[in-house]
Amino acid sequence: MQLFEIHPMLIVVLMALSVALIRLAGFWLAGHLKVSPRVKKWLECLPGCIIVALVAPMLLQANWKQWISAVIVIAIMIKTDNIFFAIVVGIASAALFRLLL
Amino acid sequence: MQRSMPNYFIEGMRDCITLSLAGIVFGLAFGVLAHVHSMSFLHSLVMSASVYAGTAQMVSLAYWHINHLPLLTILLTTSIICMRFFLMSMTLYPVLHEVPKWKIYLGLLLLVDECWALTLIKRRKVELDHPSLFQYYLGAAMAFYLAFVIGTPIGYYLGNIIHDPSKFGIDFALIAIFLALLIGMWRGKADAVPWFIAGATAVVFDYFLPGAWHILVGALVGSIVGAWRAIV
Repeated sequence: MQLFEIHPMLIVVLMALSVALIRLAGFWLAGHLKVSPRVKKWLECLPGCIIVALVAPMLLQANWKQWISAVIVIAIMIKTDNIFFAIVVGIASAALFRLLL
Repeated sequence: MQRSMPNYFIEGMRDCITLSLAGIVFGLAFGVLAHVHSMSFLHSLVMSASVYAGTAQMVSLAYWHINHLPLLTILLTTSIICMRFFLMSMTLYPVLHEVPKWKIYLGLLLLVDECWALTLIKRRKVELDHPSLFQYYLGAAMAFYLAFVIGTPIGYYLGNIIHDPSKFGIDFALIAIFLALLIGMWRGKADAVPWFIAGATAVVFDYFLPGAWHILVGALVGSIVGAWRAIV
């Protein structure tokens, strides 16, 4: 469907512009919304839901070794609330399972 | 209350160190793949520094043919994958809107999942005023940005040796990071139902719809249900 050649750098620039616009637009729009209690509740609930929606399909496609590591990450987070520690141990355990099992 | 001003910028950077290590690896993975897909070194570096969205960049490589670049397809795919940044940027408004606009818009150019989540988690633990939280955000954002951008050229050169970066367990690194951040965001039992619905919706839409629409749809459905339950 392309009739003429587009310089790759132009594509990179246009990609950058689109993503920049998306990054700024959310904040801009939130400033122009009437922040009713309902919208406020929604914005508070949104962050966790974004991450769940990101990670749920990934988890589903993971294998059982990765599921064990996932449980380890969750357990460490619940026990220690230490993001650093949970991620390092989780990735290390995944690597270990990959080698051993 | 005249205390010496705590430097939240440094604190943000420090809190982002682990994630930045992952950031280097993501940048590296993109660099390797860029090499494998014969994207030029310059394009890959400029892309990481300006587009700065790992997944979208990697997906765009699939369309990166030397003579025949489908502009619209690439832009559309990129935008859909990055649509979550739109939602993330919205959720920062209530905690950062007192920061001068030009500062916040410059800072938001560096918005990615990791620094965004760290900032909201920080805000939940400590009631920081908007400018301090912005310093924290900027510290985390810059730490991750530098890591990702530095990782790209390293990966590009490693592309001579390595051809399949998935061997480094990047797939699980993403899962580990998102899970840890997610648990850090847990506010209590009220989150259970919206999270479950967000996850289930995302899984279903991931199955039926190509691209990354499932993130947007799952997040919206889950959070609307959550808001509705909180009010009614």
